[in-house]
Amino acid sequence: MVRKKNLHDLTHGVETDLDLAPLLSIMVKLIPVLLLSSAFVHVVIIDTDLPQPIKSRIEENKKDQNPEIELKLSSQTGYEIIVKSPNNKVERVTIPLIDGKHFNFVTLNHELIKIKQRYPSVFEIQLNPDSETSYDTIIRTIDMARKPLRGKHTFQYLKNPETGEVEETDFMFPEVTFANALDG
Amino acid sequence: MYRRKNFQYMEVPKRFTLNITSMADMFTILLVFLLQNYSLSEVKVDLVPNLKLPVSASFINPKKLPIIYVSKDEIRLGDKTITKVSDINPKVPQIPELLSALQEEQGRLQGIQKTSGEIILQADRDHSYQIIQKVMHTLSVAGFPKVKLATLSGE
Repeated sequence: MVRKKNLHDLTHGVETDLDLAPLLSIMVKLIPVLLLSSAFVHVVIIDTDLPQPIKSRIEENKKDQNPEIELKLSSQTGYEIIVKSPNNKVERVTIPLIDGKHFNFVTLNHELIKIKQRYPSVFEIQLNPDSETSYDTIIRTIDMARKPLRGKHTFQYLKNPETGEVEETDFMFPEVTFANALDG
Repeated sequence: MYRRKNFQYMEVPKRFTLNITSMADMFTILLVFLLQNYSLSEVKVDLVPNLKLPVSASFINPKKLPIIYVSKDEIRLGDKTITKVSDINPKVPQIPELLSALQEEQGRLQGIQKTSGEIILQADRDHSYQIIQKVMHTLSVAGFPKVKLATLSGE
């Protein structure tokens, strides 16, 4: 009984102050280190390819049975998506400007999802902006082509044709090429 | 007598403890915030004045590569100013001053390591594609066909 009472005294009704001083000293050392190495403005990159005379010829030779997807940006008319099938069938989707001024990014994303669902093995898109298109618009367009904006869309593609391995991805067209970079 | 008693009472040594719980709370919040902003990138890309980068949802961290800056008024390769944006001839597809500077850079890089043809392009978001196209054309001709477009991270 005496033992039980002592145990009760040890565990209940005893106020103890937690010594926070060592924790605080660790934090005081950690915070300056983190302050020095933190980046409050994160710079990221978008991989793009420029066409080269020789490279384009090699690419032409390598061309397989996938369709070519070209995206034209016009500051006067808006977007035009051109899908060129291997059997020379050309399909066009036009997305006009909103109020004649702003590019319709949401509709572009929606149309690209539809194209991706039809051709899940295609990851490349050729951008063809006109000279008046702003750089900011081009970057936003690349963003719209990279991933679906809303909803959970995944696309199944054949990763390895020999083994028949299928993989799922939420990427649409992450490989961007500036088709008209050498035209200027 | 009364005064003396009070003085004696004050003289008695007393244990004084500072309550640092709230301070520890504040440091914890600060630590979490700083850990969130901790940069895992192997290189830090400097921002230059008069250049507003566009925002993108990309998440690829930059690598250590030559950087070309196209600010509102000038074109720079690393720390070296190449030409003014206003001096670019709209009738010529390339920028001759930039081409010679890039060829020089290519030669320097070839002496150090095998060049991959990669370059980071930091351009002002308000520039028209006309300017960007000329820079890209010059980059392609100079042997830098893999252009990494630098943007600010955002959703």
